[in-house]
Amino acid sequence: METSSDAVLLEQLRNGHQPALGQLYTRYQERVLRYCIRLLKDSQSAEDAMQNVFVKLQSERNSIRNVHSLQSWVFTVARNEAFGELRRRKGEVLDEEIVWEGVLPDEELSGKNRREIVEAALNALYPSFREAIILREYEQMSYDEIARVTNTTVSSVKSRLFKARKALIEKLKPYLHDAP
Amino acid sequence: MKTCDEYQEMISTYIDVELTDTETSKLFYHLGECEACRTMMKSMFQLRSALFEIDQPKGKRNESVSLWKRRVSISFPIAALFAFFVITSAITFVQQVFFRKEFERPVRVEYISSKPLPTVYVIEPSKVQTHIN
Repeated sequence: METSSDAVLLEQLRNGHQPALGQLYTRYQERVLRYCIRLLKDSQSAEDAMQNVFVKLQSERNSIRNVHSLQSWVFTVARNEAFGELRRRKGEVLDEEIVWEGVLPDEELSGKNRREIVEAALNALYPSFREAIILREYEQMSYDEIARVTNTTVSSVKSRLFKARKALIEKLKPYLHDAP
Repeated sequence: MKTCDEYQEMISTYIDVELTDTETSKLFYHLGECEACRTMMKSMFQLRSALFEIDQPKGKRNESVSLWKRRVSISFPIAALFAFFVITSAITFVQQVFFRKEFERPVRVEYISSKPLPTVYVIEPSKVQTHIN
């Protein structure tokens, strides 16, 4: 079965071919949901954000023009949805250069296994830093693409990734080891 | 002259394959002289591995596990049963190949006669004549 490219499916969607939306949903749903869960740390809110992405894809299909890639568009909308939810929860989320969102005391990590500790540390990162790690490590996006999705520059992406990794390494040093 | 902090940011860019060839050469030249940065390089790869692990479904085996280092643990009764099966099969195989008795061999029958074989005429049914006395 031939797989249509994003551009072809988008064109079909613009022409009213509804199955194209289903194919795009199948293609991106899981990744977008995973991205939103990692940002929002709540599966219900993430599910809502993810659904809104595809509602917008349907409603704004004719205005999606000159888009470098549909993937960038999808993740940009997902990001806007997720950050909108974060603002609603906590007030204005500033893109400050603060790496840790909260305090993650070592006592809180004791008794947990390595997987839980790494997950807790990732979740404790400030949203803009956590998102850079997610888009790079889990979505395998290039710096250019991350910059487009996060509406920032490549230089800023480089800096955020480095600061996030350095902070995680410092926090997780006793738990890092070579792969068995 | 770059500081270690700048080189360590280059390490972060390097592991994402986003560093230019020129910058990569400079970075590796520095790594040859700086243990702290070499340690940071190692830590970045270890962090990547740890982040990869948490994205896997729980219970799924880590894909980075070497094939040669896997450990298989089974209960003693199952191991004993398996060993018994293997040994029994081996003994049976050896018996079949090396100790087959003559009468177990397939028999080939040859008809030997000093007299000529009887002549057999094939009569077509339509040519049979019925004699009624």
